[in-house]
Amino acid sequence: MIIGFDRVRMEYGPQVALDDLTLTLGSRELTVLVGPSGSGKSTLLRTVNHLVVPTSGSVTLDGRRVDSFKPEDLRRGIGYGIQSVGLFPHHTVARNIAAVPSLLKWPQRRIADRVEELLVLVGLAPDRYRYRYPHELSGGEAQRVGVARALAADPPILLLDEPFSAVDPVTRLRLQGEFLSIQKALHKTVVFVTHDVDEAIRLADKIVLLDQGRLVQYGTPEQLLDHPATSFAGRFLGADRALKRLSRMMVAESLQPAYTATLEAGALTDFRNDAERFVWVTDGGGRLLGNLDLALLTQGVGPEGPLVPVADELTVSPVSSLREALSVMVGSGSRSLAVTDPGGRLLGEIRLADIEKVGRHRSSVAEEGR
Amino acid sequence: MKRWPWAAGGWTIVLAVVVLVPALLERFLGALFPGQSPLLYPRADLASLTAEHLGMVLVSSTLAALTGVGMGVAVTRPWGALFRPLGDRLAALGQTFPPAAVLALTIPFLGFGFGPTVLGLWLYGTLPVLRGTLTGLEQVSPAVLDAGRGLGFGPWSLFFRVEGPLAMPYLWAGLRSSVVVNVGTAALGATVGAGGLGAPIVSGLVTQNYSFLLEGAIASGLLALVVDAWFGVLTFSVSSQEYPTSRTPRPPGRGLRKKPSPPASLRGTRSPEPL
Repeated sequence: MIIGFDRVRMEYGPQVALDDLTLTLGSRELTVLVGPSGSGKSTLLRTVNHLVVPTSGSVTLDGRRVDSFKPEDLRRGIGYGIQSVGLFPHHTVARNIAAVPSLLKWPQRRIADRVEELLVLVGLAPDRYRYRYPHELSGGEAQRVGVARALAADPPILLLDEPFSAVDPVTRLRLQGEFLSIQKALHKTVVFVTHDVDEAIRLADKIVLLDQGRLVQYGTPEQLLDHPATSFAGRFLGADRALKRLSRMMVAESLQPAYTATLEAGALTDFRNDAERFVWVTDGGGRLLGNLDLALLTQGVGPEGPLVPVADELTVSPVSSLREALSVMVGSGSRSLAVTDPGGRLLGEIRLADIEKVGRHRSSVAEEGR
Repeated sequence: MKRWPWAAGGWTIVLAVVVLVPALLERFLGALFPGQSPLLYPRADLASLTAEHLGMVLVSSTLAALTGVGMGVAVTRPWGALFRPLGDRLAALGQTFPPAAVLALTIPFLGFGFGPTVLGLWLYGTLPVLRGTLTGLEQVSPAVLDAGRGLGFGPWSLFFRVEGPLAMPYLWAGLRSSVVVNVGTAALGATVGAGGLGAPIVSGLVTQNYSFLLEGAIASGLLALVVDAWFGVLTFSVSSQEYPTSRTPRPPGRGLRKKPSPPASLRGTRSPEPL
């Protein structure tokens, strides 16, 4: 559904929370509203389900004004999740998730099936969590239930107001990742509020940058990072914009075939190396054993002696971001890293030069095209 | 109710024996006050005095519950917000105002008898109920209400499905102290000619017949205990209704452990003090 804002203005007494904001959000896109506190991002979000009634201007869904709906009907068709979750403390997890389906008077059987499906979707084992009360959940679990509740009646639109900011950083990263994969499968029109730039860049299809109730910039994360519209946007996105851009790219996209050798029965076989001094050495099953300085081999030593094992934290997975890969390179002083799958098998390597090239390439594309 | 409420049942039986078997009470008082005659208040038997007493409490507390809850809900709605400070002040007043003063104040304006006493008890009993209602509605997290509205609960379903059930334990505690205080205060009604269990007490004080006094005191004390005990039992069942298990079957043997308990201050309120 296309969400349109037309000269939306919101005043609280003398304070202007939204200053004649005009904006159209794309259907089935994940739009992140980001900005410092007081920028009006939450207020803007809440105009969509009519929890905030603008002083003037109009908000439309596929061209129909939101104030032309009965508020309850409008909201039952829009998923809603908030930072403090707001689970009903006197209802079980199952009943919390069932809130909107019960309001819509779904049959019991269908509600139970849907609850089960959603618990699985958000990664909570239905048998363990169905009958728990909110006070028996951790912060991360409560947030998952909150997201499940927002998705319950399969609404085309999802409004999420800082849903992951009350949990610890590790949990937040995991929740973000899981939410991204849910969104990849469901393709909802999502409006997501956060004050965390990294979260915005990680999740967004499009970013709306707000300041003092005004639209500063609207575009893809790459557009914002490459060409901040104002000095405020530049400051807000940070001096490490180039690194942030790398965090949107996956290692898999820049994966290079590695120079490898296979070590079997104490002898190097399947030598695929022409020029490089170092090779990655794997066992017969393709699992990474370490790297080898070929210069040492020429001195007549057997291959096991000079073989240097590679610590797990010095390898990256294909779904790691280029930013993480770069960080490992800087930390370890190496110019290339082994890329392994979860089973430890060598998939290829990622090189510093390629990361630099990708960064430059993206900027030049941005300069030409966007 | 998961198990038979022994305490409430026991106190009820004791009260019934004392009220319905006057010979027993008479023998007991005779042992305490030898030579005193008559031992029992002659103008009415204990059963009719108790009925009269309960009648006053029932009428006044029902009215108090309706007005207290009604006012509490009204001033917390958007359309009643203007009267919110008034509601808070009234609720606070209930804590500072001694019950005897209520009746003392109503006499000059309302005269003597059953009606004015009931009116006085009604007004006084409203305050703890109002206070409990306000406390209960206040402690409901704004985030919960925001989430409810955002999910599409209308004002009615939000109140009856979310706000009300969450406020219920507090409201119930307010009602409990209101009724228990009213049982005690109703005894003062005798001083203004309203009858009830205060009648033998007042008469005993005037004629220095301490046997009368004890007769009334024992009965009204027991009555307060019985009422409070039954409220305790019902508190239990109200809060287990509040965390229902009916719609979704739960594995056996997990029900009680999983039930969140209301704050300690609300469990087993024995004192007749308002909240």
